[in-house]
Amino acid sequence: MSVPHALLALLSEGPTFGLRLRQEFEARTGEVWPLNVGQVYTTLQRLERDGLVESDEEGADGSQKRYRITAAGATELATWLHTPPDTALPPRDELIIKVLVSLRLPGVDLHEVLQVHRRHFVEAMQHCTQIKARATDDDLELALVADAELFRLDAVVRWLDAADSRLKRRPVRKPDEVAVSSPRSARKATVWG
Amino acid sequence: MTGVIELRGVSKVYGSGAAEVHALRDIDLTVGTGELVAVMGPSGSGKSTLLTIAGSLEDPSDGEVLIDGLLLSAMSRNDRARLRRRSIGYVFQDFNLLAGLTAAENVTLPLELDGIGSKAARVLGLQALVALGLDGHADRFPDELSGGERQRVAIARALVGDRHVLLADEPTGALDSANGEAVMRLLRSAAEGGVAGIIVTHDAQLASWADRVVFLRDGRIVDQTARPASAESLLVPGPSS
Amino acid sequence: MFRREWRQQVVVLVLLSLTVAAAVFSAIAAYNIASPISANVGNADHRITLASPDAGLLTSVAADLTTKYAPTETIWHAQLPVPGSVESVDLRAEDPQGSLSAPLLALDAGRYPIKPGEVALTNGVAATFGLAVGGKLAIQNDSWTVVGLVENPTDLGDEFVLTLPGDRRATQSVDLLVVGHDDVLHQSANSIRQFQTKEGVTGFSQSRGASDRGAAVISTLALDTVALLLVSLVAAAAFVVVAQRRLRQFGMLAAMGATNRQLRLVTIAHGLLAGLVSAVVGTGIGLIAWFGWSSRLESMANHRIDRGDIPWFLLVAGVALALLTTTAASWWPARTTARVPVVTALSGRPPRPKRAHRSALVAVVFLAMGFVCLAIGIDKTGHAKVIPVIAGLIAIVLGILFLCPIAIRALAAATNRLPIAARLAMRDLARYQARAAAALAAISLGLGIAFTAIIVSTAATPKATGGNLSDRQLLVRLGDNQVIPEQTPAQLAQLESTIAQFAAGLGGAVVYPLDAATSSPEAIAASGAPALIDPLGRPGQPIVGLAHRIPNGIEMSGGDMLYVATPEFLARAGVDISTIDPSAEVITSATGDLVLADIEPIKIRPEDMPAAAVQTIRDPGYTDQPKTFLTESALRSHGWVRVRAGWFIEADHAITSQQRADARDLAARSGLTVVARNTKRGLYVTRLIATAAGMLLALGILAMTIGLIRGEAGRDLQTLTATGATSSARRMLTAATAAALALLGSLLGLVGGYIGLIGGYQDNLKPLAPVPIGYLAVVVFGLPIVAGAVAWLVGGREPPVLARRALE
Repeated sequence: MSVPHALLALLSEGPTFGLRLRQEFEARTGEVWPLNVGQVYTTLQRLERDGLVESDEEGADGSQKRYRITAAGATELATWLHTPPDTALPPRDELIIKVLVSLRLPGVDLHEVLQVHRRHFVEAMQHCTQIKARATDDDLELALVADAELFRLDAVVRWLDAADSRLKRRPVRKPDEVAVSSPRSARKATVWG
Repeated sequence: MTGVIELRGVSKVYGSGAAEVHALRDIDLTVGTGELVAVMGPSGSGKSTLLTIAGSLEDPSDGEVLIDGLLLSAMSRNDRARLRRRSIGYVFQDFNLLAGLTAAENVTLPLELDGIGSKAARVLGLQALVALGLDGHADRFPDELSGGERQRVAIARALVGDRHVLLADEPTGALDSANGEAVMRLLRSAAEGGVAGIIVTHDAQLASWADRVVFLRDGRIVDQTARPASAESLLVPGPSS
Repeated sequence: MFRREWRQQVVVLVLLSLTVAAAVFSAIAAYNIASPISANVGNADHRITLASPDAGLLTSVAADLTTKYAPTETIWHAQLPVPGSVESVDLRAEDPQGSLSAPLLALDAGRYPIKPGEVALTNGVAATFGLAVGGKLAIQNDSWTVVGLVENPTDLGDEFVLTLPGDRRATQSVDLLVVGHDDVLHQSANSIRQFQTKEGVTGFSQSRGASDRGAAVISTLALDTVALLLVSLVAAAAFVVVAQRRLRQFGMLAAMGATNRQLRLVTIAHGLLAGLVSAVVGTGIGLIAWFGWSSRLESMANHRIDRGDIPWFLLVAGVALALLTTTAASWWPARTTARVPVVTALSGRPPRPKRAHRSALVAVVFLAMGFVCLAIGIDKTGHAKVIPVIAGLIAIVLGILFLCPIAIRALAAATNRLPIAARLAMRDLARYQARAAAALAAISLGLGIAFTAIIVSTAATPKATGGNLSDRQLLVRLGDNQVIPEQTPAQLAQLESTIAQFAAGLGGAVVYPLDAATSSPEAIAASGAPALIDPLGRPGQPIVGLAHRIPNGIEMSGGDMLYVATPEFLARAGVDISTIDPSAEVITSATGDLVLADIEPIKIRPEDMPAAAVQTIRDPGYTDQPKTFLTESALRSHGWVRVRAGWFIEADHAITSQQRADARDLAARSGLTVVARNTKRGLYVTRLIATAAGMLLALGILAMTIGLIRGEAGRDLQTLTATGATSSARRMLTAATAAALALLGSLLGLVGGYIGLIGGYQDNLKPLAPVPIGYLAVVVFGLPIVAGAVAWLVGGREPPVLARRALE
């Protein structure tokens, strides 16, 4: 989640005060990601240092500093908006590691492990859906965020189903067999880079 | 606890001898008024069979099915047919619309079979179609509708009138996410109106609309989720990526 | 599903082939059973029969004629009495090697007689005398050896004794077989005419008539066409189903790389092949059946049948017809469904039907063509020409076929208010339009035939004021229209009292004695005419008759019986005696060039005979009621004699069938004949049979085709059951479909039937005026009810393995 870029986006609408930025941010993201003020100001300073943002001087009557986006900032924002995140690396998923490890552990019913996780994720999805269900038509941001979470969880659940069916089809192997071969470890190495 | 739909120790075996297939083993499931239960499981887990047995379309090899507290096995064929006309709404996986009837006529099919006059039935049918956003298509024939529209007609048929049991098999399979969500909202509101429903699906997002998700594997119920406590925020601690 | 398809296909092909086989067989059989030519004429054009009690005179006259009309062959006859019986047997001297008489003689066993004293017998005569080859035939003072058994192949019932030409006993009459000389001998219809020869010899001539083979073949071909059309329509329905299913299956193959074009060609080729195969196989079976069974038909036909006598031209025409119908039935549905893009067919939806008004136009065109063809093909007298009639039949059937989709759609649109199951049935009919239309056309055809039979038999039924006699009248006759048997006064008195008794028993009956006129005994003796025999074999006197003069002779057969007028009967016939011209000789309703004919004309040439002085009266309306009278003055002036010929009885009430039966008994015992009102009971029975048969046929076709139409509805039945339909809804589907097809079939059959009939009767529509509403209503209203009821009872089966299939 890129807070600097999000702030840039907010500033691109018009110059504003730091506190206001925080309020706007939370409102726009359905209050899912609370930011503390310090985090906002630190980020703004960093942006200013990089020349993406500039600020007015502090007002004499104690009013807040006003920040505004620069041309460089606008370019940076545009680039960021149009660049999809890097998908080269698979995420270091705790769940995947659990499953990979459990493949060879004796006395572990992998199906049960998968089911526990599945249930848990589905419960989480139920929760998400409940919130989405209660959101009104105006809550576009809330819906988007809820959907994002749902799809993410859905993907995991689907992977669990796929894992289940692969496991069903695998040949039965004794737990103390250790199948180690160079090509296999080499493949692993490239995956994890 | 007594519910609207009850399966007690239901088992179903197909074939005999070496070719025996145990589709369901000793299923206990209760669905109360206003409750939506989702049944998830891989293909071959028996979820479709569970639905047909709950809907009185098939008899279990063992165990009992009760709808509204009435034993299905004790009912005559005509009584069961009446149940299907008046109380149960069934959504098939391939919609099963009658190609010779218009959308409105398809929706009012159970009502007209029950003897309700076509004018009165049409009023109820149009209500159901409007709820599913199909009021402009009432007099079109199924082969003039898209797949998604046909699915919604099938759902309308399952909700028409005041039936209070809903059995749905992949009710949003042909729908895009916007239409799918609209349908699920509708089913939720039906549940709030008192409909007890079982939804069979392999789609977790769909299942997440239910009050309870039941997991089926190899004909048995192996797990189920708890009823979600109402939460104010999405920030629930859990495994994160 | 593939296997089910195979079985159905085979059934349809077998049905088609058998129909073709039956058509081929019946056409050949009809051609051969119908009498080829006049059985007595052999290879000649005319046959002159001469008879005389003076053998010498006869021989010389025969010799003169033989020279005059050479080349001729002669067959001499004599009647030999059978010992111990009043019957006699024909001794026939015929040359077995004669070319003209060759068709009239065939050898069954032994050999022909070659020496005097030898004879051959027909097997009837052999049985009568209890003889076999090698036996001795003894009649009166003669005895012959039987050397063989013979027959007349053109008339298997002809019994005679064959002897050598020149047998001195065969001198009573002679047949001369003559070739040519048509101008003199006047070839015309099969009637026997008087032939002028010398005084003392009576002569009759007969010409080779037109064979009625043509009529037999036409009617058979027409029936065969109808049968072929019927079966082809049912087959077409089946083929539509197959073609549509096939395309769906092929859709999957298309995904694997087979092109659309290849798949379509396969379907069409399959259809063509089916049609050709059934036509060829059917023809083969028909021919084989003919060669196998032709001999059995000989007794039915009463003449020998030549197995090889196959009307090849007609056969080719018939086979072409079969090819046309069977191939069209199989290929056309394949072609139309193959035209549908495979992708659409894949979706399982039946192809969208063509526009309604195009079908209607085509239908009207065909019906008009059919009307015109039948109007041309059937003329005033009821004679039919082959090609127009058959073309007309086919055109009408096609016209009805094109009306079927419109009718189905109209019904579907009109039934929107019906309960849901019936409504669904109508919509399904409209959806599966092609096969439903073919099935409906078949049903309409079947019912159309039945309706035609009903209407035609109604038209032929005499109305209350027509017929041969009224229901209160009886005509009792002694003898026939040519001979009155001699009666002694005692015998006559006995007859009179029997009749009087019978009439008294009838109640309120008036008896009018009827007399005929004959020549005086002296005149008969002087003329040398041979003794005449009445139908019961009794010797009698020739009657004076009223005949029509025709070129070269007089036409006696078919004339009204001439009675001597009596004041009572004239009054009864409504003739005012005062209006009768005193110089009139004949009072009659007949018209034309009329002459009075007795035995005298043997001496006078027909053109010299004086015309009778005729007074015309109104036709009484009944054909057998006496309406031709000889005046008393004519009787006296010609020197003729009255002789009792019969009695006309009129009761005051309709004569019951019991009384009719009593009259017949009385007549049989007394050697009389009785004529009563012809109730044309046969036609009434025809109507009943036509109604029942038509309904059964329609039900049969329905049974065959309803499976085709509702067969695709398996999924729908599952849906219905799942939404809570009971078996009565399922039954209602089949019942409504059956009733709808039956109703539409009746209406369309009626339309087609009437168009055809009006075309055929177009010269004179009056006979069609009495519409047999009762019978038609029974079918139009009764058949749908029966069909619906039967379908209701039979169609309630719950679809198997209900939900699983639908949900997988």
